[in-house]
Amino acid sequence: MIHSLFIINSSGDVFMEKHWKSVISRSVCDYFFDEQRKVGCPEDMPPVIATPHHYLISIHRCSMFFVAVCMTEVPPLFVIEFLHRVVDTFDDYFSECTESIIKENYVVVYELLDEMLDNGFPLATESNILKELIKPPNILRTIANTVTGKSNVSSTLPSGQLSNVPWRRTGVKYTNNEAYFDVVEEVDAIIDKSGSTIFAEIQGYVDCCIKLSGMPDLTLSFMNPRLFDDVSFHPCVRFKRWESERILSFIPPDGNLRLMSYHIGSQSVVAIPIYVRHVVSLREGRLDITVGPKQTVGRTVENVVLEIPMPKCVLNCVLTPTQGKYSFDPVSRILVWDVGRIDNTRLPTIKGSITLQMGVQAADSNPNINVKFTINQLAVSGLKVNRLDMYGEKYKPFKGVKYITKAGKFQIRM
Amino acid sequence: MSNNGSYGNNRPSSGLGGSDIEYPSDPASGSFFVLHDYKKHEDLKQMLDMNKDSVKLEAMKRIIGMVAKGRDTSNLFPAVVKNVVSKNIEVKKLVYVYLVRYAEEQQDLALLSISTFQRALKDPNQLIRASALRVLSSIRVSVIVRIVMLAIRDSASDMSPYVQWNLKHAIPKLHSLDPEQKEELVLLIDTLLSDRTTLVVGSAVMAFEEVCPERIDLMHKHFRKLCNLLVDVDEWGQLIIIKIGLCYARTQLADPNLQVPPPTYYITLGFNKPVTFCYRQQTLNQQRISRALDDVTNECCPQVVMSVCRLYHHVAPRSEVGVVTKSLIRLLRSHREVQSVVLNCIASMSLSRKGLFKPHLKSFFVRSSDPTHIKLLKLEILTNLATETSISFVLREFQTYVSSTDKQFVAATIQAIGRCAANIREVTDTCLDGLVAMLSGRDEAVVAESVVVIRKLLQSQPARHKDIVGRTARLLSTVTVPQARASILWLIGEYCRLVPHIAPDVLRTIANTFTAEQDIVKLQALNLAVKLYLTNPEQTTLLCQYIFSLARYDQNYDIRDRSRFLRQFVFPITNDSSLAKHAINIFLASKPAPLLKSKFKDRECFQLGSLSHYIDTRAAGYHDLPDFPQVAPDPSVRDVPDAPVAVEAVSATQKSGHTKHSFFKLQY
Repeated sequence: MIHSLFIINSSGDVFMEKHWKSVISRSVCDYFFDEQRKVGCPEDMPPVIATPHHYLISIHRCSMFFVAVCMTEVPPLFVIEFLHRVVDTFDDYFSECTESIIKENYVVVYELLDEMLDNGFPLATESNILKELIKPPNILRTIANTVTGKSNVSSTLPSGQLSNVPWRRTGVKYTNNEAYFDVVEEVDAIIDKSGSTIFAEIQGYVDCCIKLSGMPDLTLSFMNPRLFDDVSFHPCVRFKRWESERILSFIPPDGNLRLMSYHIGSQSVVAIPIYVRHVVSLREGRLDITVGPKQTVGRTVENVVLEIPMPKCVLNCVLTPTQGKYSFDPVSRILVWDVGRIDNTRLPTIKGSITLQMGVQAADSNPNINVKFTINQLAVSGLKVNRLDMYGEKYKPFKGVKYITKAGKFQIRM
Repeated sequence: MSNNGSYGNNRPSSGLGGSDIEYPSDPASGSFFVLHDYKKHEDLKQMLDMNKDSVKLEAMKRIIGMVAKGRDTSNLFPAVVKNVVSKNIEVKKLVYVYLVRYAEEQQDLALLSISTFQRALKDPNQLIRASALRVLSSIRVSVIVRIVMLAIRDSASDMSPYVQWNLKHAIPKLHSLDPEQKEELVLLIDTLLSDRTTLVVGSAVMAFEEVCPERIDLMHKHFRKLCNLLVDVDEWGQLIIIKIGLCYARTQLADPNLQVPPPTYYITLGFNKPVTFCYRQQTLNQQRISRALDDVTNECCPQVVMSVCRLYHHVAPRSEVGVVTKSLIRLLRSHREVQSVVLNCIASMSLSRKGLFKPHLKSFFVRSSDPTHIKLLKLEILTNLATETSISFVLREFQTYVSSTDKQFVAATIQAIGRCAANIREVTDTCLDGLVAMLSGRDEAVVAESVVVIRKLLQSQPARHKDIVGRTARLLSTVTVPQARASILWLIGEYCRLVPHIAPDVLRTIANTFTAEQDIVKLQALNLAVKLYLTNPEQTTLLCQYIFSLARYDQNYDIRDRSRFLRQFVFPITNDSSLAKHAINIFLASKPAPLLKSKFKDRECFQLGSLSHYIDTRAAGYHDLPDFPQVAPDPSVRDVPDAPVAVEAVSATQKSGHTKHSFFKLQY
């Protein structure tokens, strides 16, 4: 399966390698670099590269490449999934994942990699279990270890690993028992030139932060569970209960988790909470864009950001917004207009001229607009949590639900 | 590349950096002192020999740091291996890491550590026993095969399920070290498979899959149990069980799609909790398997979804495959790399199972922010899915794509339009008109690609499109892309009878610019000359001669060769050349129209979602899926009278009050 892992930084240095079987020389990465030279940007990098004796499967995250080397047939998705899991674990341990962080913590990184994979097969990838085997570094613990001579490595078996609820530690205790639920909905849409919706769907998540003592058994119900097109749950959710009663019943892991994700679209009509009126003509060098809210049930649209990747021939943009700030990056040629919140009485506009490179024909096409926004206190699908009950424990927890609507991949064609 | 200064920060900021011991200077910068190589790492050796654990730990950390950077620290092996007896668990762990890395190179010295491992295997702490087993089996030294074998056998009867769980990797490791031990290992796996703990069985299947996947007969007894356990094992175990299930179904069950009256097994599923195969006894001898493939959540693991999808694709009755669609579509929101693999599979599935993805057509619409390879895959899928009803929709999308700034993508879009036009008769004319309109565009790449596609389309029905041939001829003065120019010349040559007035003029133009043309264009110019000479000798003989003499002295030998060869047809040396007689038949024979087909057509021989499928070549170690047996083997081999009881016992002890299981019990 996975023989070796190489981590490559943005300047093309292999700064860490780990072998789970016999050592493979890092010169195998040359094939990777060859391929990298062929494609321009890291996003275009093909995930699988076949070389005469090895297969290189890579992911690009945090501006680093994680390249796994395999010798034989292996499902590519399996390796990709594992690599992402590795990065997620690093993120979890060091709260961010950068080259310098990895270099600083290479001992922990190495121990982690050793624990996650054995003989090329995954061993323990559950972050809760890993955290008990190898304690994440923090300043307090570093000092304590220096003084007491203790180590970061646990000498006993994690309690949860063999239990029947492997995702929850036993003996959790809090003075304030709280359970918070965030219903987050992301609107994915493609709007065409004339403003009509070509494609729209909602991807929703129920994220929670649960700090409850003991072994609480929770049930969560929705007002309108019929909305869902497709749902998927955290492994702790009892699926049969959902199938028969449309109720989420679960013993939660401690801390943050994504309880469920759902999908609404294709069949139902999705409300688009924002519209953009645009007159952009590259040939005449003119740009005029207005943003306004629609179908927002009285909520304000906030954090609106318009991002326009301009074609290569655009040299500069001189614009005047009625609200917010704009910037044009002459290297990446991305025009960003940070609008902020939209005031219903005075709609934000941006106007001005675009300078083109001399002698270059303007492209026939206009660029697309990527829109970002958030709306607090609104789930655009109309989803509502009905009630949350707790069984199995005596205390009364504090409960809270929050709704947010965001733009997902929201694109407007011009 | 590893010797530059960017690795200067070798001293870790964490750990014991703050303690009061004076360390010798950083050994990692030793590469500057190559001359003093014998002294290299001397300080580390000293540190390892000290009594203080904290110093040893610091030294080990630095060594691991160097290992991580891929530097050679093998000369430290004797100093490090001594510390395997250290009581400090962190030092021990790092020594283990080092040992596994270098034991293969320093076999003799590695043997020094073996006795320590043997002692650790008897340690009361299960974590230490397990890690000793792991490291011992990772030391790839053939002398210790017997010792590892003993250790494995001891661990198999260990009381701790955690130690047994770790066996899953020890067994394949020993097998790869010494394949002769297989017999014994298989026996061991068989006993492990009969275990009642989920953890142990989950690890036994892994060893089974690695060591003896061909011994499918071992599975008979355990198959039903495995299917029931599927929910409880971790996602990596699920993958293996699904894989075994796939193999098992293909060898032991009859093809559900071939049986006319109700299949001997069918699948009922909600697609939402890990995959489970369930069996029902329907009549006395006929077994019905209902497979509850449930909840393969994306939180779980995309690969599990993919495996289930593969299972369905290869063994499920046709009517049941639909359940995987939604989950696959869901994966499209995941990371870019995952998207690429999933789209690859969908592209392949969409060829044979169009209906599945038709309702999700819009999910494959391209965004300008997608990376190019994702765009191309989406385009492929859109083309595969297009039907008479949805084509107008798809074409409108394509129209937007054509004006994209991504040239490769635009070219692919035009080809996709061509494929749609060829596949769906109703839109052929619309598409052709659209493509011809594109010819007047300013973008070279677009024009070039359009000409190529038009050529392919026209070939299937030339007579109706006389004016289009004429229009392409006019383009010769503006188009500069060689591929397109060559295509135009070929088109004129092929249909010179349709445009008798234009063709000779085209030949005149090209004769003018012949010397400046690219090779591919020159070859087609020669072709055109021959064809025109054969159909219209009065007007073109001189032109033809002129072009041939130019070609004769061309710099490229291909062109010289070709002209010499073609000359025999048109200007034969002897008068009775039999070649010249057949020239018309040879050059103006009607040619079969090219088939515009999907690149994914020939990938179907590979298992969905496998590496071979992705790279479209047979990867090392790829095994073909066995065909369904003609007659299903006796199903009674799977009968184990007490199996359901065992599973109930497990779930009862394991998850009291966990409602998931009550459902499965109902199924019996």
